[in-house]
Amino acid sequence: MKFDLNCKISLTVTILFLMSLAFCYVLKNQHYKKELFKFIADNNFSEGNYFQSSKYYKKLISMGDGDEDVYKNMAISMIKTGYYDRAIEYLKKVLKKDKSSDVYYALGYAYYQKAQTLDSLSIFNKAMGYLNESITLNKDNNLAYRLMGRIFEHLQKFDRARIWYNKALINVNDKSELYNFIAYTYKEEGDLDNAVNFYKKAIESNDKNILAYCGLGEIYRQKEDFQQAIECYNQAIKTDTGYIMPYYKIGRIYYEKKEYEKALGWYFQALRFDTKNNIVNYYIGKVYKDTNMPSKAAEYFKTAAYCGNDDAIKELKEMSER
Amino acid sequence: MFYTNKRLFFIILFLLSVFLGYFINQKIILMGIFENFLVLTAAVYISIAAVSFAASFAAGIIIKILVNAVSKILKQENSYSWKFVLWLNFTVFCYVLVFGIFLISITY
Repeated sequence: MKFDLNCKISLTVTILFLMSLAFCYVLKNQHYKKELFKFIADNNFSEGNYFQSSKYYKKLISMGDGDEDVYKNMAISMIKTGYYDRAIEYLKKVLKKDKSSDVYYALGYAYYQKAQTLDSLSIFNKAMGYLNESITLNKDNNLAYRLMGRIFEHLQKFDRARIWYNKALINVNDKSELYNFIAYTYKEEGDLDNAVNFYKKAIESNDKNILAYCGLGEIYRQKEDFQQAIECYNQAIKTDTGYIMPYYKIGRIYYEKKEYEKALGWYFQALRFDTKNNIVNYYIGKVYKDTNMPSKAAEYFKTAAYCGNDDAIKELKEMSER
Repeated sequence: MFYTNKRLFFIILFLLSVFLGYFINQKIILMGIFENFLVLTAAVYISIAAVSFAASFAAGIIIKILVNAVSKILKQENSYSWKFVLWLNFTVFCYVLVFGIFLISITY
């Protein structure tokens, strides 16, 4: 390459161009105030606008104003929007300066969310590693105990999940959520009596615990104590009239008792909240199928199938084969 | 602008794309696109080159028409070099695009 006059002019122009870019950048940044950016970022973060908050946190970091809180909030913004790898990246940077229990917990949480998406045992193990570290630094970290319980529950190791949930119970005020989790583990193991006990404890702890009422309802339904089951579901409805599950659960009880009109009544009440709910549409299809109304059944099976209900797809296949 | 050394210009354009990629990355974070920095840089590079080429081609045609018209009016010979004008326009538009994208990417 000849370093002739043309080349010199070209390089000089390029250097001047780069200097003008630097000049514009300095002018712009002087105009921007870090405090304003922090305010906008924190505001968006507290309102749940994680995309906007992450934009401004990233700008703060590039302006050299990235402290531990900025990195942490940046990481949480990314977790909330599903970018777990980037969140982990930021949290590891925070960890270099701040080896606190909170940061280890946040890393454990990010790995847990990632593991749930990928259903990867190795990533669950990484999450547990960070959570253990968090607990070692702070034995009162209830969130870490709770998350450990959730991980073991996901891995179907219910007895170990209960150990961690019981540890989390020690220092927490509102125990109802943890009682719910423990009851669920007993239910999954088939120990319905203990499941009932813990759902009842959850309700005693918080009488607006809709999941506990629904859980109890499901157990009584399995025990074929339909009266009690319906009572529990009705309590759930009284607690929150806009929650769809108790309506179609009651409908299902009437369907099992072959009281099809009552079943339909409850299913259609459930449909008011979500007309495309694949479970409710499937159950309505089943009622019409059992009452020899195949065309109506097909209509509801199609809606359910369209929303991803595999059972409805099977039903439609069977109906078309006939 | 770059009068003769095309290879050097494309290397500098690539370096400017890397530079732009850093600032664009800050703005588009979490949009779910171009998470890979190399991919982002390549996209910026190709976009600038493509848009500048199209613009320089259009500008080149307009300049050729104008030069022909002026030559006819002044009854002078037309020593218009299509390749040189195209290349010059291309480098100018590249610089203008880089500047414009840079200003947008540092604006909040």
